[in-house]
Amino acid sequence: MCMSHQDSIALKLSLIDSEKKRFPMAAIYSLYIINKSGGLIFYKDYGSAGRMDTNDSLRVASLWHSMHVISQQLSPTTGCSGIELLEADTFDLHCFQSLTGTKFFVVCEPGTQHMESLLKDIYELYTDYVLKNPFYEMEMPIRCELFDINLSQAVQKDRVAMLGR
Amino acid sequence: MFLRSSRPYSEKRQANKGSSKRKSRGENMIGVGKIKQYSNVLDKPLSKGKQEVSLSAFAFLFSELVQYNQTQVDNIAELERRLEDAGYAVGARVLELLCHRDKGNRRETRLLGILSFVHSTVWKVLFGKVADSLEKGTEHEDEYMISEKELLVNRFISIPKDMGTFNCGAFVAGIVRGVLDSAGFPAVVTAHFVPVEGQQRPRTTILIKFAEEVLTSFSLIVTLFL
Repeated sequence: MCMSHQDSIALKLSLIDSEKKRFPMAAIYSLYIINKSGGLIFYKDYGSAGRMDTNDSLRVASLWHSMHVISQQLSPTTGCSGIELLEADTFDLHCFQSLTGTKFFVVCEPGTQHMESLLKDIYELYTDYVLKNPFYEMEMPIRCELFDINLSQAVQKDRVAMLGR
Repeated sequence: MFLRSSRPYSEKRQANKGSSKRKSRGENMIGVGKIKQYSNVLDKPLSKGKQEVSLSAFAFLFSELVQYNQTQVDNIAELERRLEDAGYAVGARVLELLCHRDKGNRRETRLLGILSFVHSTVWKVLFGKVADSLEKGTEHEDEYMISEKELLVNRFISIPKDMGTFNCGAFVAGIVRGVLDSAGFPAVVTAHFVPVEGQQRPRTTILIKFAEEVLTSFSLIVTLFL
């Protein structure tokens, strides 16, 4: 019984490996935008790795919000703006906080470069296609067609640029 | 007002620098002697006006206009009508200004003349470019269409699914109606989304349906003179 259980785990691991080979470009796993009170207002995942259901993504968002605040207060330097990069064995998490407290963060493959500029681009798209949209209510989940279209273009462009590097 | 996208950060900064330089030079020139030259304010040539307005500033203002009107109405048709009325006032004023500035106080009296005036002159002053196309309706004699791939007022606006076919281009439709009405061509003007093959986004068509008397008086004049 015990053996078969381990077998199934091994099988799962090999499956994950083969999926990685099939999607070698999934440098960005997922993107989150959280409002200034820690509520998730936008979530999108790319590729196969690190996919999460709605509850888990909400949990990650509020957890990250609290950790960000705690890190600001625990930091020995004055005027600390919170965690910008979290490096783990299996993923990197890059975070960008706008002046109004909205946080953008991407979970990506370890060692992925130029995520700061991608986050800035996404912030620009947010200010254009979300904040200038009269039908968007502040601090509420983002449902804007134009934002989705331009975001997928930006991520696609980032991937192409990465292939070139 | 010529609206220009302010997307790339660096470009924007440079552009700002450039314009502030130009501005200070312009002020100097005025200080040197232009004011003295014209003792009567009416003799002064009408200024071309400032050619550019920040697109962001306009987008936020327009967004607020839509949001304010949304709080004042209970259905979408009403919202469309209010936006159109806001545009109507703009159109009436734009016609007055452009007739004086570009046409030496003369205005178009022919149907096609006023349509091409809207399509080119008005569009250029308001949006910085000529409209993409001006067509005659195929089904009805009295219908004309001005189409835009991406209407400037709709650049940042995504209509929520529950609002159906609502189009913020109603404001622009109102401008067109204001121009036509003040020029003596009463018409019903509406804005519609029209899907385009192979494109993710629909284009906006401004549909102009002239009132009956416009065409009859037009044909009357034609028969009188020919």
